[in-house]
Amino acid sequence: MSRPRLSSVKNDASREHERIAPLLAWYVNGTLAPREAEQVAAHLSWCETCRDDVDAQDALMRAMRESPSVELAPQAGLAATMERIERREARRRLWSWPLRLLQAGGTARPLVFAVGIQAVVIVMLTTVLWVKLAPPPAAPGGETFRTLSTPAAAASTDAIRLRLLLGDDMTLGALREALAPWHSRIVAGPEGRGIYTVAIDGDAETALAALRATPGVNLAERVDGP
Amino acid sequence: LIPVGGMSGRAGGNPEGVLEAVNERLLLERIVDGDRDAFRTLYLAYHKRLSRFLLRFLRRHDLIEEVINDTLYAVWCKAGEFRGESQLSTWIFGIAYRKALKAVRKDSREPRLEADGVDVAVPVPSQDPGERQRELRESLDRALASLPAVQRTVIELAYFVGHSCEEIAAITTTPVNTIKTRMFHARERLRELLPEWRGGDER
Repeated sequence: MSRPRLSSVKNDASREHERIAPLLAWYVNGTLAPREAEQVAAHLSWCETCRDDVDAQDALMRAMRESPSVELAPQAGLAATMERIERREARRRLWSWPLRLLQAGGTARPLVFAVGIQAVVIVMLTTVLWVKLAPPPAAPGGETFRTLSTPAAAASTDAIRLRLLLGDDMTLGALREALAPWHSRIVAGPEGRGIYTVAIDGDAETALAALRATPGVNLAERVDGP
Repeated sequence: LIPVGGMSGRAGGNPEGVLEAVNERLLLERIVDGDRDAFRTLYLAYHKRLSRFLLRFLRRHDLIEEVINDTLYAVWCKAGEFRGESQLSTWIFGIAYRKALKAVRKDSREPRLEADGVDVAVPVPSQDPGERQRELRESLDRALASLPAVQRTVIELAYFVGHSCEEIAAITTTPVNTIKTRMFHARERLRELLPEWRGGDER
């Protein structure tokens, strides 16, 4: 059995020392992992240099911890930080209600939440439709413009409506007289320049023929006719 | 309220005002729920530790106070984001470290964190015990002040705060081997400046 050479033993010890020495600070403050701490303890059993270093570092650590440092009073800083926290929390409360609504709807009462959202959507759609379908506002001055093809207001459900364009010399009395055989009445007009809508009871073609033959009636046509 | 000052079970013990890790986690859970009392307890427990840590490289008290308050306010705001992958103190000191770096950059009049330390003369020891104690403390402060800030930070976090090498690496976002190297150089410098704490000579 051969004995290890002295230089080899020295080299091993040196390598071990170099590996352990950087760990001593954390051996002293007690934060080494158990396995590393065991290795350091084993090394210290024969390495006087490291034992001295551990003692020195321990003394230094204690001195640092016992050394009176500048004491900053914490109360003012604590009060300022608490105020800052309260301001932050106030802001968070202000903006958190939509989030809470969503959370409540999504978890605690999903059906109620869904119905609520649906109702809101329905109201919004109804409003949009109402705005789109509503008649346009009257022209300035309340005047409504009509063309000859615009349907006239109905006098009754059974009446036949005729639209007449009268000449300038045609009077209202003469018009009433011309309409008399058909129990007719003026239901709208004059619109524009001498346009009247009349409702008649009876045969429309006969009435139209008679009216067209009446002096002062430039045009006679059925509004809702065939 | 959770009492302050419990021991963590570490061989090196804990500095004054340190909460046990389990109590810290309970406090944080209450803070997540908006518990103001829990926050006050945590604030008071960390104020001294952070002020001591920050004093080494911020120096100006108003800046230290500002960084402490910003750090603990951030703890209130982000308490729910802490996942427990590290010690709570590692997380809080990491926030403080980053805010201190910003404060240093913002205030160009302050010494840069990466700046080298200044040379310090070793004083002649006094024979009076009281005077001797005072001298030792002063020489310790001078020696620490003379270290480059990155080395000083490692020394402070290891000896004073009691963090592990891995925690210091996490706080400073630096590789573990770099932390070991910084500690090695810091120790070399302190041996030179503090013969009282020299220990054995290196082989």
